[in-house]
Amino acid sequence: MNNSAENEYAVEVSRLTVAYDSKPVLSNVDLELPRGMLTAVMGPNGAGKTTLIKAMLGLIPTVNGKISFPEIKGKKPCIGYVPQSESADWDFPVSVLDVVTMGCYGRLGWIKRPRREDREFAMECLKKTGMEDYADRQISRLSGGQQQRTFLARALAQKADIYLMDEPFKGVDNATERSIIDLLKELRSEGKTVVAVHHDLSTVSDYFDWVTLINIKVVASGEVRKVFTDENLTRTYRAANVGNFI
Amino acid sequence: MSASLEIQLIAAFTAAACAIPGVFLLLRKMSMVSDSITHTILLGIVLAFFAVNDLSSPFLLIGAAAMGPITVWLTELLSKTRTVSEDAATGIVFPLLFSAAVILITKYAGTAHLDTDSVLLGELAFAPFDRMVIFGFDLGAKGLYVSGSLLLINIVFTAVFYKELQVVSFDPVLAAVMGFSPVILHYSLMTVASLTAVGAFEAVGSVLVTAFMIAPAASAYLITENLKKMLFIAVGIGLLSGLLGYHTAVLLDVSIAGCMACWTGVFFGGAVVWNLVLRKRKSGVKR
Repeated sequence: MNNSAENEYAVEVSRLTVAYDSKPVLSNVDLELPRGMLTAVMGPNGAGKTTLIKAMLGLIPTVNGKISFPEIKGKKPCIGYVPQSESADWDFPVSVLDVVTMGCYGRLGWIKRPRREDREFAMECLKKTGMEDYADRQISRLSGGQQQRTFLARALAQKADIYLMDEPFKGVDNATERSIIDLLKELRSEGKTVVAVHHDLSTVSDYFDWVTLINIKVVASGEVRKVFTDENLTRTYRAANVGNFI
Repeated sequence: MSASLEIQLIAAFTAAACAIPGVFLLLRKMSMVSDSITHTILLGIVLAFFAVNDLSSPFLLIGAAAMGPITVWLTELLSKTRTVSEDAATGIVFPLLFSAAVILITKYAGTAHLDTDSVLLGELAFAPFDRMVIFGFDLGAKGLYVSGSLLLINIVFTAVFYKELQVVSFDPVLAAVMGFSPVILHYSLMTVASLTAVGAFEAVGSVLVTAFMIAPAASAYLITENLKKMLFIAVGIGLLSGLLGYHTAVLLDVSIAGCMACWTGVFFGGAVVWNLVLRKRKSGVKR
């Protein structure tokens, strides 16, 4: 074993099992997701995609297993998170810029307040997502695509090394989808890792480098061109129906 | 300081203090938790009273303040079993604890000062009789110090943890990812809310505390889309309701707390109209 070499994986999951009410949602998941790549997590409804993301973030109790984010250049990586946009309370009395500034809170720690440079940085992140004109707008008056861009800008403000995203393309129009994928590719070029729950089978090969097919268990995980095959997809999506009856 | 001024200040401080945790309870969709807490703190007071046998002991305050988070915890425990929905869990836990307190009072504390009228309606008019006396000096009504410190505690708590309260109320998952424990913040807020409820309950009674926590917050929510402004407006409405409530009560010779609560309702009505007019104007601009 060569320990001195930089680990090439961003996330390592071993024998992860998660259950709700003793019904397994994820069972014995073993995964290694590569650093500096865009990974799609795919599977039918109820396959445990969101659960996998949440377990990686340490947000839900696990029955068994281990999740680790190997150090990058001797430092613990910073994890950014983009939730499904409908999970947030869009009637909350904050502006778009307020939401993006929240991305800086993790770096600030307890009690310290965001300063002018934090708000300026948040504004830069808004520019990157093409949302600078909406900075002062209250978040309830945003379209679905604008909500998603706001969350992406907030994730950028987190300055994370690894981004975990729950369906970043959900409910957005084509133009927004294009600009989101451009942004993800830009992140990749900066050496960041993106793991995103994805639904659209037709865009996987265009958008992503790596794909993980799951349905409670991992069906296949690897480079898109090797793993994204008819056979694997059939196993992933047909097993869903079978799985529900067992 | 005249008795009338003391009452007005206590009323205004109490209502303003309630409005602050109220804003966060409202935004976290936990408005009815305030109702729940204001009832169960009575059990905390009664149990602490049995332990120390002294009505003016500060342990009563501690017992009461501890009961709030315990109530919330029990409610969450029950709703987590998924045998009942969350609102039903609230509806089961707090009447249970409250009724236990009522039974204990009527059975064992009959001679004490804990009577049902003062619990339900408060006794603001009598507040000036309860003096703060240190080394023989009369330093004013005790209620003034209680309500004033509550207002101060709530302002300091919100000012210091503003960022944390904001992010955990808007997006608890993000807060957790960033290391701001939603559980710690949640229970801190519950403790502050129940401490406020204890202080307020002496002045305005347990039934009406909810009005002072939620109505100013709900009004402010309709008037502004900015969290900081919302906090200021809610506190302002609280202060005004206290003052206007006192004068209305004197004018009509009725309950002060009742009039204060009515004023919070009037402000809310005004906020609804404001909101409708504003929305109409905004949609007009779009066209």
